[in-house]
Amino acid sequence: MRTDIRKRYWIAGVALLVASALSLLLRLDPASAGVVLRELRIPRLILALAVGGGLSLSGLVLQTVLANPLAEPYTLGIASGAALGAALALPVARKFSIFGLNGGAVLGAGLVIMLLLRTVARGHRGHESILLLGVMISLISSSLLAIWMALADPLGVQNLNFWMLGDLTRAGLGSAILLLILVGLIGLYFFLFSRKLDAFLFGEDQVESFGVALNRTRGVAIVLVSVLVGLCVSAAGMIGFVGLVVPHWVRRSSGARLHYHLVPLCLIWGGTLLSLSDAISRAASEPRELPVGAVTALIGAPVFILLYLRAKRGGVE
Amino acid sequence: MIEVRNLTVITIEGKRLLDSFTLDAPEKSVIGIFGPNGSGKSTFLKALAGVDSPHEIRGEVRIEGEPIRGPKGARERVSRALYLGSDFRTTFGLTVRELFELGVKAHDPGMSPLLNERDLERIGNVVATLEISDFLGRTFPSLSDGEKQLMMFARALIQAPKVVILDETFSKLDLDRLIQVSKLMRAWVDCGMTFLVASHDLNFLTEISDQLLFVKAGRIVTQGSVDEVLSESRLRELFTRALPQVVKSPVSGRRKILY
Repeated sequence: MRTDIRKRYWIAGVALLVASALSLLLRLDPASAGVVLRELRIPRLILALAVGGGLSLSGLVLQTVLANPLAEPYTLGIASGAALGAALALPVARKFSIFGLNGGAVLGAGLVIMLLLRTVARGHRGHESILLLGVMISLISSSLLAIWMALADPLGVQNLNFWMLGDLTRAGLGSAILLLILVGLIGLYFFLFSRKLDAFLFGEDQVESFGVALNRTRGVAIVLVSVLVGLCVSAAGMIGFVGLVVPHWVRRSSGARLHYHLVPLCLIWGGTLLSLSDAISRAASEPRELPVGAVTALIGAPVFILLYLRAKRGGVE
Repeated sequence: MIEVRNLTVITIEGKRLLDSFTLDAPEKSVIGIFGPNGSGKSTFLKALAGVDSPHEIRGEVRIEGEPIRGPKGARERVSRALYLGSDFRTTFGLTVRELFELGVKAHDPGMSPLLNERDLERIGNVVATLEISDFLGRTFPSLSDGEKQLMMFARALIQAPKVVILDETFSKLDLDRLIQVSKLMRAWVDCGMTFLVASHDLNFLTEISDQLLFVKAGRIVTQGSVDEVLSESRLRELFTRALPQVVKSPVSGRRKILY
């Protein structure tokens, strides 16, 4: 068992290296290699690793804490809440630099999660009810975002593409590294307190019987997920389904069940998937680019349908 | 010693689910709780364990002199009393071994999931006593309902709180296992544990219990030793549609009902 898990870390590490190498080197013109790598590809790779890892970790924590295998920032409307929050903060954000934008996004994400939790707390515990609410929130905030963009910004439509489909092209080296560090720190927190997340695996009413304070643990998790989603969305827009696919992929492929392993593996595989998707979206139709969010959604949506059907049959393990 | 004083549970609508429960239960004993559906057994047991509740709870519960809801929160509380229900569901499965490892670390303020020698010994003892080593590698969702109940019971023994509260936890256990558990119960009591067991299987309760508690409509109808409490006249207060006969078991000498 132990050697098996160790092997999974090796595979994840190698996959991460391969994806990074592809992302950096695919269709690289030797003549301008130095500048392109330094100015474009390295910041973009770091951003992809941070956002991919951050979204996967958010998905993992949400699935565990809400006891819902279909939970993730995108399907629950948390990402669109963050995008709306960031967009609303834009006019103010110009004065307060990057903090205004991030603050708005974190606030938007946090409000959506609070709303979702209130519904769960009122006893509508089914998979469907929280998902339905999430999809509705997602639609509403996307519509508001579109209207806001059309009214507020002369370049509204172009910006809308950024928010709605995700985009890693706006990466700056400094902010990308900062985001990677923050994602890493939040990941470290969940890794160190992985046992608290494990206690959620036997249902909400068993959490305290494992000596874990339910409300405080869930509260902290929710705040950290809001921060993660907010920062990822304001850096790269709404990139869908990474948060859904990666945790399930990690569970199935590695056989890991405890968060002690799930947290680091999700961080690694999330970064791998997003940097790979980014490399594909760039290389597939050069010199134009496919929106990276569209590529991840194309992978993620079928997986979502598959999981949904399986969950309906009551067989998600 | 478990001291319950005027424990009262009131819903937001003002309905009294539990009305002035007062009880002194000695430690190192088994207390059986019996009563009709909806009589307040679960409400009482959850309130006694200090489980979070949407209702208003009045009165006082002390275990060995300490209030059940102490300042140190969940970890301290489950080291005093651990409540187990009957229905265990999971979204993502752990193996039985991982469940036990999670249980054995429940009192550990450190957050490391790594086990030491003593943790492993505690798990090993319970696994050997209950003869459940075959289950260790299986995932929890793959177990039958009865097997889940048995594993959760084993996990409670591994956590070794002062009081284990079993609310219909054996409702789907097969007869072989039920008899095994009833025979082993005394050994755990001798190790210092106290059990509160709610069940509709009165004959199981008389087999394991030192004291019986009859509950009806949110009130304690009667309490005492099995011989004191289990009489046809007492049962008349609980059973309105049928009256079982009380006999002495030729096997264990304990009182049983026949119907």
